[in-house]
Amino acid sequence: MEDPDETANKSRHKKMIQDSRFKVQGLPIMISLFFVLLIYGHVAMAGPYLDSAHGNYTPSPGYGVNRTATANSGYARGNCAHCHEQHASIGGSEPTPASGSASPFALFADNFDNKIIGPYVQTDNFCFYCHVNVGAVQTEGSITNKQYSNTFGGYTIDSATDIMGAFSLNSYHNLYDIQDFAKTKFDFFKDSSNPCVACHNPHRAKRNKAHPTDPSYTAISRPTDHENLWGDDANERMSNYTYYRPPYYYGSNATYEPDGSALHDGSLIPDYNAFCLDCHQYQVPTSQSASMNPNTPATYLTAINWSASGDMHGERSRIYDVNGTGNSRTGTIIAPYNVVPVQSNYVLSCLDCHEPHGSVLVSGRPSSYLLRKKVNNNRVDGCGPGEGNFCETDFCGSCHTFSHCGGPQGCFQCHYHGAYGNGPGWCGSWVGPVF
Amino acid sequence: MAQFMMYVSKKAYLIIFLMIICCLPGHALAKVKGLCSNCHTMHASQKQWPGQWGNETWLRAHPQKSLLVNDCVGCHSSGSSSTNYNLGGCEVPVVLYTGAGQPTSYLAGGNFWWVKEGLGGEDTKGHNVFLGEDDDSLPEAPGNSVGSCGTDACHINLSEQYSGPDMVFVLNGKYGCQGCHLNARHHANDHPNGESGLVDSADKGWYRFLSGHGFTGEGVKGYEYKDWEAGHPNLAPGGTAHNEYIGDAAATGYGFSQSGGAGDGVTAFCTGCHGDFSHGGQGSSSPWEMHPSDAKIPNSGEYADAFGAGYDPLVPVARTSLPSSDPSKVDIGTDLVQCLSCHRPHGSPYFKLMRWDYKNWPGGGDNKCTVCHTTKK
Repeated sequence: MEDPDETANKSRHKKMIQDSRFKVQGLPIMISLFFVLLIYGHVAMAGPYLDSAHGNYTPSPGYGVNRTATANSGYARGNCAHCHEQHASIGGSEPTPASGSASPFALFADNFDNKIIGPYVQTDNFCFYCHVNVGAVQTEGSITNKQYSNTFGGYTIDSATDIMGAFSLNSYHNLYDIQDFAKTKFDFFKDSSNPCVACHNPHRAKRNKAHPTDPSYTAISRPTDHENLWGDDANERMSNYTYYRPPYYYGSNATYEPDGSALHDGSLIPDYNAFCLDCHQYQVPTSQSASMNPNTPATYLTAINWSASGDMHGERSRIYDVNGTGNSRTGTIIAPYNVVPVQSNYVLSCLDCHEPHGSVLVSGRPSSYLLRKKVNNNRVDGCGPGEGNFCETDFCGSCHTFSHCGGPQGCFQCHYHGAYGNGPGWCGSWVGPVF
Repeated sequence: MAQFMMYVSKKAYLIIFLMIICCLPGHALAKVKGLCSNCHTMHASQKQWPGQWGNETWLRAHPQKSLLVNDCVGCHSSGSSSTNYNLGGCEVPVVLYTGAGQPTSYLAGGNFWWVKEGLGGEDTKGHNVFLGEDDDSLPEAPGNSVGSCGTDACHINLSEQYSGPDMVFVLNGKYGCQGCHLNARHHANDHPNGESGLVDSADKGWYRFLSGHGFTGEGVKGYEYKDWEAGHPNLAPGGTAHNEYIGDAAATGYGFSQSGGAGDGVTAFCTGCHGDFSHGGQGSSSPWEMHPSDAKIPNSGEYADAFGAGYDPLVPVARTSLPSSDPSKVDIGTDLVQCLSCHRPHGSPYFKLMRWDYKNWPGGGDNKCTVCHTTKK
């Protein structure tokens, strides 16, 4: 019979061994955890700004803001001082504020100089100090931002390679109009806010251009929700629309925007419709581009109704078959919009047809309305040489076949946002939605 | 004999007089306490003079005004890294650490070690107040809206003896510490040495002896914490061991009186030289053209979450009315950002007298801006 004390001793000994095993086994875990925390601790502490493109600093050298003048003073990449001079100077007087005096938001230059009509120069807009491909104050000397058609559509000819260049193309998002509208509509937007900020939160915006397949890197924020990114969450994407299908990627009839893959459910594209309609659901005042819609006042853009009761390119149900059955006009709808599920209905994304910043296309009409050069694997042209030339029939022909529009530049005479048989008489006696 | 008796009699009167002065209760004698001889010498002749002038380490090269044994820095310096030291029973704040490496403990207002030639030697990190050590980086006070008052005026530098008008406080010939502490009153009737208390009048000597020019009759009001916030820069947030400052969000000008003045807090004082950085130059509301000072921290947006852990001595705020103690919380929507929220006026380890290593953030350093700008992390 075993001595009770000895049994107790053995038991204690066994427990000690078990404890020590636990400790020994736990030690590597603890050490690993320590190093994980050591290495990634800063990441865990990072907030939305450090996660943004402007705040990026790691892995070294990073790509965040890094103004030459302030970098020369030793400020780290991503530091606030590259944009904000708390006392309108660094070191008392140098570098002198670019605009010659203190600027709202303690920026090193004025946000916008209220220029009503482009083309723009670098000093017109604070963002242009860096977002130009030549002469940027960023230490790299330039920042490349290509057209939407190129970055997300695969188009290969660059009509603009920077943001200022895009806004200096023939048709552009008028910055004065953006500022003018935003400051009356959105609480966060001040009189001296930068027009770009209506769509982008510089403390949030990510580098989508480097990750075109990943909308969690979105660069946009809805003007009605400025403090959050838009498109980064799964419920903020075009996949919300059952009947959405992205256009073909350039050079392909099998792969789709924005990544040139076979995936085509819109899950990689922010819901640009909700985004754009924050403004364009309203009649937006314009100082430049007249609307084609005769029901729209002369100094406004047409309010867009993209719902089921609005435009057919929106959520409104198809009224004719994709083969044109039932329509007295000839014409069909081509791929990828003629197959299930979108053959029964479809909705487009605003950016399937429009550039967000500016378009190279030149029109004889009041504007080419920022229409894309590349639409659904179609390089829009046909009415003359040069990248800016295009036929309206070729633009519409990106998705439609037809032979009823009265010539190569006739489409927009009858087809525009809100068109409802309200064009000139030769558009016909149409009384239904024609866009 | 009569002459001798008269001499003895005079000496006796003098001794009695000095004894009365020195034996008065501490709180009546206010700021300093201890033996008069800690600071004063009647004839500066304990040794042979004038041949022995300057041979004593405690006695600088020449007699000091007010019968002092030393100049400001002479007393307010230490070879030990500390906030204060005991001089014959009197706690003396240390503004200059004289050791080889940078101090690890310093006043809420910082330490001049970082600017002193031969020590830190970096003028971008503080106000260089040492005679002849003109600022290497700045030609004058940045944001100076006052004008020069001459090239040796305090608005231009603190390292030259001023030769202009006296401005009531007999400023002629002064420089350095006295460029800011215009009228140091160690015997003012404020709280006892080593204890905390409210200092809000000329009679009390003003907060840290920071007064306007005599013609203004004004000075800084504040609550002085007893041990000069010993523990900087590592004081944990949330405690009550800190000074208290006052600010004025409704002010319109700068200094104590210019263009309506900037109140009676530290911001008013700083903007006496850095006028453009106050209400006169920063704008009057959001969006500010410069970072505001003496502006209420809004109880909205990202600011609503500011100071989550309570009062942070590393980012001190100003109050709209001065408390008689040092509460441990910040009232968002009421309390104000001020000059001292970001800067240590004497000197700090960091570029532009910052209270934290802003310049090397992100990647290194720290960004206490996010204490208020909570979504800019």
